[in-house]
Amino acid sequence: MRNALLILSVLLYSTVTLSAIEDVSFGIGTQTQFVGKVQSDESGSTNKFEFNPYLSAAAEVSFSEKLSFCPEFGLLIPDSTRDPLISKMTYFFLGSLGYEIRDWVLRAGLGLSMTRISGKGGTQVLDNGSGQTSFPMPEGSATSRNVILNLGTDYFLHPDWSARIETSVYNPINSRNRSFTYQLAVHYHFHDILGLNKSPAKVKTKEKADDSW
Amino acid sequence: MVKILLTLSFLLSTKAFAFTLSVSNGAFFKENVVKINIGDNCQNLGVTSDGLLSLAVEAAEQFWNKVPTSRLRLEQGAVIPVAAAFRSDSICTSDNPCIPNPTLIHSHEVLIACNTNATNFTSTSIIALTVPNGVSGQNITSSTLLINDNAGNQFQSKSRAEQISILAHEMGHAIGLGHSPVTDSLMYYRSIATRYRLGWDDIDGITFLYPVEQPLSGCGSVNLGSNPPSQMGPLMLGFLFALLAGMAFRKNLKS
Repeated sequence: MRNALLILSVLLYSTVTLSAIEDVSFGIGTQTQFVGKVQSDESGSTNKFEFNPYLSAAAEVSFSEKLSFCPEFGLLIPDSTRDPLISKMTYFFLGSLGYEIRDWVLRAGLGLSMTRISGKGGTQVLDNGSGQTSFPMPEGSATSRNVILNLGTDYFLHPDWSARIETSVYNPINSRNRSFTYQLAVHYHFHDILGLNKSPAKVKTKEKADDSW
Repeated sequence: MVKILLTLSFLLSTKAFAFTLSVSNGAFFKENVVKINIGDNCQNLGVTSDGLLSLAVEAAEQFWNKVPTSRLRLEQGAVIPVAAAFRSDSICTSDNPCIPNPTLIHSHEVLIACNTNATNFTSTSIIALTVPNGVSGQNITSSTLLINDNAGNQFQSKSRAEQISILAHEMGHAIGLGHSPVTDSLMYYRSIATRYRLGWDDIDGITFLYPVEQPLSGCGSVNLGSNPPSQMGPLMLGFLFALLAGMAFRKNLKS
């Protein structure tokens, strides 16, 4: 019942927003998860920047000249491989409100970040301090779903290109396991190619770009 | 097109990290909150029972309780009296795989006690060992963590920070994780003095066993934090989506 409610909500808002889309963009970027919370080497260093490339697809529905709603789906591609028997996939859905100020779009909203970890089972023989022990490997899969608070900004370098910096806050109210993830990305906007409407601010940006590029 | 799909499938199936489990069927604590208790039988660790409890709580807070994708919270229990067997007996009646000694099964979720058994600790270099010894189906009901309390044990000579990371490592076994082969993980078999945070293997492991399920169930429920589970989460989320969709639809009709 709960899952049905979630799926219904997502379908409802996807269907309606699809009919009112004014821009579609595809992005590529890198995400650093849980900044400062993960030990990255034996010396005690923690993670500040990690190269975890991700792809995303976003849309824009304008409510007014300045205000828009921006649904987005992203898929993280982990680049580290340590064990062929365990795989991990991270993906996210975001629903942000965007506010345009000149060439900038400020974004804030909520989203869902999902981490799916799967294992094929089996065992692994590892040191245990006094010899070796056979440890079981995970079998099956588990998905963690986190509601995230999302804050970020886009800067339009060109009417078709924007650079994005964005942070996702996990457990924002709970200091015990609050955590920050940030993304750096560039997006290509297809509003010209698809013949979609452009918000007045972007038209203005385009006119300015036509003058200067 | 086929090449693109093949490339995508390769990219999407890249592998993550390497954690293992301590129980063969992937057992875990069913509860979101698990208490850490201390047995009152330590003599040679250089800390009091209350001091050991304080170290254990710090270990939980510094390591396992910080994972944003885990529903598990390890909390302070109490110092409790334990039977003499916890000091003298072997934790397993046979090894590889360990058949837990029924005498050491208890009802205190995670129990940390001191032990001097020569089968458990064949040398002073073995600091501690842990077995989830109360397992029912896929649920861990209790785990026993034994610290080497023989004279000359290494626990007492470690820094406070390392004692905390040692206890955190053993707690990792208590909640269902096995060792990791990589040195930057807490669950690597050897203690490292500069261990201050979990590694990716540890985070993936606890996420696999104790995934957060926000916003629709359990510890999640759009509490975005420490509030108790609430049914308001999905309703609020649905309302938000409906509101935004309605605004978009209205604008579309106007145009």
